[in-house]
Amino acid sequence: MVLYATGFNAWNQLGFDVPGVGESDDFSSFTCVLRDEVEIVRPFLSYTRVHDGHETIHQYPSIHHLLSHISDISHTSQPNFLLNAPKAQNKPPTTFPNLPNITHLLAHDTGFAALSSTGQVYTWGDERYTACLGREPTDESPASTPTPLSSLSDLPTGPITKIAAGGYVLAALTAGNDLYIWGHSGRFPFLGADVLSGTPCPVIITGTGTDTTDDVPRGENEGDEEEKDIIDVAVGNSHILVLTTDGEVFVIGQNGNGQLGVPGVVESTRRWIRVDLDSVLGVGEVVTGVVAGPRSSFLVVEKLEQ
Amino acid sequence: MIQPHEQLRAQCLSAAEQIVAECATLSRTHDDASSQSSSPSLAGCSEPLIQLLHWQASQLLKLYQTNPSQQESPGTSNPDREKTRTLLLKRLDDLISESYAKFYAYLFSELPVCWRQLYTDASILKFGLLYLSWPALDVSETGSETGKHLDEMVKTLDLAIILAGAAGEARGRRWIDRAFALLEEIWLNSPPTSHTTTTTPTSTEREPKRIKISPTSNQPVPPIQNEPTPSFSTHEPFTPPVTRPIRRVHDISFEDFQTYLDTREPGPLGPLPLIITGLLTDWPALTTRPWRKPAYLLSRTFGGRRLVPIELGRSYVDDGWGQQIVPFGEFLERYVVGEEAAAGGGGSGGIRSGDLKEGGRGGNGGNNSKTGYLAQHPLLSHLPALARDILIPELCYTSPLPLPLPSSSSSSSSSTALLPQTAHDYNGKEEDDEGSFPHLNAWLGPAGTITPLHTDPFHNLLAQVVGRKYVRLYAPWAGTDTTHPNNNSSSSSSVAGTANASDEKKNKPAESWLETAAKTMRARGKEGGVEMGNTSAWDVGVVEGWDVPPVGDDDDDDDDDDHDRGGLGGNRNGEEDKHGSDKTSNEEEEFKKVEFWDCILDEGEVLYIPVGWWHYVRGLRVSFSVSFWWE
Repeated sequence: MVLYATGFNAWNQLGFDVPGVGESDDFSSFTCVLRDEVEIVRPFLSYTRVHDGHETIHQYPSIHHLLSHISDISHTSQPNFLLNAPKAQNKPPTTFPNLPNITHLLAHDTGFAALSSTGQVYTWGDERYTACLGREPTDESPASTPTPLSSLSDLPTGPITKIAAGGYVLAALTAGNDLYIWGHSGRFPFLGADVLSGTPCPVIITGTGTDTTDDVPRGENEGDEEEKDIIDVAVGNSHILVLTTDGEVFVIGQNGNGQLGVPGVVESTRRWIRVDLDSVLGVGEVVTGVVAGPRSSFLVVEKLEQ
Repeated sequence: MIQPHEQLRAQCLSAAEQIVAECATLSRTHDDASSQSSSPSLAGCSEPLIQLLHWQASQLLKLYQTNPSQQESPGTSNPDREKTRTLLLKRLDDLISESYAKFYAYLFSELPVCWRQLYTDASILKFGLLYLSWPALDVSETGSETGKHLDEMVKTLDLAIILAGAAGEARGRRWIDRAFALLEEIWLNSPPTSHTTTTTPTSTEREPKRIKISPTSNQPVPPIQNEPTPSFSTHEPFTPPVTRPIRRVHDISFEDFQTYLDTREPGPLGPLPLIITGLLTDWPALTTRPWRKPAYLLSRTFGGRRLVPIELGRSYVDDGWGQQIVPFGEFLERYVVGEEAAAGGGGSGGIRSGDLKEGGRGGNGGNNSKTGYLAQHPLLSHLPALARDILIPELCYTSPLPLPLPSSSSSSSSSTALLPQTAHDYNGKEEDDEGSFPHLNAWLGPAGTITPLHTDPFHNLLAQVVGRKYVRLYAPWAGTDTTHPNNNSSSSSSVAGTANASDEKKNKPAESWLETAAKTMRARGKEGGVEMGNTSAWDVGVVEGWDVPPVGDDDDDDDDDDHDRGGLGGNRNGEEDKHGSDKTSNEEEEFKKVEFWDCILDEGEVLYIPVGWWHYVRGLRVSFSVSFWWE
């Protein structure tokens, strides 16, 4: 497996050859950073955690200070997700005993999302940001209680198989490759409040995006191609990337740190842009997954057997 | 005598040195894996961000410390140096936006101070970088470029004050105030050729009523009183009738006022509101440093460049209400003195604080026809130059009794239970001011500003400096019969304890009057996660027929998420609280019967609003007030 990365690199957290060399500049386009048996990639603000099936590589010079923040948190859940909440140890752990077979658990800036093996999505978090909950809190199911999203049950293309979250945006993929997104449009103004709201809304990506430099909507040539099926999604603090079934990667949002991997986008983009993978990938390489750090993006790439 | 630009340069470099030293200490603490309790400040930001800040401070020193002679000649600087500068600026912006994100994620009251200090220190370094590379120091640069650069410097520090409360002991507010003073001095002393003003569009000269304001103009000498510069308009589009006037007294003495506060008439549980005249006659703001003159205010705000937070919308409980941070001069021009100000402003917005780096929301021109109000802002500590124009009334050093609170809600029923700290009290962020009373706020806006019926957890002296305001007040015990024998509160020693004791003896639930009042006044609950219990759902202007009920804007798709100020201002809007159908006219009739007091507060008058009193405030013409909160 090959790992490509772009974006925020202040601590050289994208550099696996010589980690911890001090301050570095960001990557503005996807760059091959690791060729290894990568199984899990988990990017954080200041370091990247990669598991290769045998051992775990941490990128920051030493992250034991960072990990020590969570040493006294109960390990019944996966503590990795709590890294961004260093204050969590000040509050007693909360137990939610009645959640069945959770397979994914995610944290974003103001809350959490969990996915069960049956495709049920649960959300809970800060009641000030109900849009991120994807539901209206009620007395029976307040913001702070994991509550299933009925709006993501009985979807036309099957149950939810994957969720992603970052910043103030959450995303869910159905078995039939449809993407649903919800969140706080004030904190993520790139999708428009008609698409991004407190109700999960399907995201339609068509066409080729644009590989040119500006992101001014031109003649809206969408419709000349059918809607893309989406098989993977990743959400950063202010950007989203998706992978389509035909191996294309589309990005939207903030590019201040190069996290979109599209050098032409100066600050941000409000429309989906297709990443020009031809100029990035090696011969026979295909993208099999996308991963987002808060301000960075990763492509998980396989080399096809000849 | 050291030149101001040398002083400012030294101040910037010394801030960087301090930050390097502090971060180095913190890193060592981390290495020892010892407790961080000994180091307050930045410690909570975690090692990586502290290290990142450390690097930036070091870079700034590397760029500018060693070669004072080589003081930035942009055209000729070598590419490496330029690259370093660019990356430094980007990383400082990264630090600012990372810390700013915490302002949204936390309730402001729970935001660890380290994030505010990180924001502030990164802003100080950014200012240093901008200043030390200021093209104005190079005479060949064009005026508009240096002007933009200057605006960027001002914005960097003002946002640190407004958004982050300029946190930090070693630098913080003092550092920023000094930097502003020096910068203004440098600007005023610089040869005029280097700052040709970017002339504002002068298309509207024909408008006789319009006062010309050019925020970029350089006004070294404050105009004096009798100079013929125009004053704010005194046009008053609507004057509500005063039906139950508040008592007026002339220039009450400290002792008499204390006596007034201590005296209980039979019935009321505390002193009544009172208008005091003649208290402001010594204020320069009304005489020699006239706040009624826009030109004077501009001269005190760095030519109108200084940023201020303003509220946009009719009332903070309406849909579509929002906050913006704009240059003071732009605020005056657009919302207070301009022709269109009367019609409700216009044009695209100023700096959306949410847009610091995250990219804009595009000019959706959503501000059209909105009222702009510089409300509840500690302007006088923000702009110390203006603070010299007023005198803190000694009356707010009196010791008023607290409200005799019922005790039913047990030990936790402190005053905060009755008078919740809501988002509207966000300026608790001025941590330094928080402990020190009186707490000053400024209120400047055009005719027609409305502060909806609400209570504050402090006693208040509202001083009317310019213009007139209609104020209506309801007692904290509104809707209850305080002359009822159960309420044995007329004793002069009616402190909380005695009142409670008597209530308990009568076996009457002690929260009675408080609860009754909350119902009578339709105190809101928690809305969108923000406690709004201090704000009434009654809209006095609508009930009285002065205003039409606001309709929910339907184009407010992004304006109603007024998190522009993040955790600071927060979401004051209920998501769906409409002035809804459940408010039967019966209830309204009942509300109309509730006893109230009202007045039109005139220029030079001071209104005493006792703690916990519900008040509705309406600007009748261009109005500038200062409120003094104390306990």
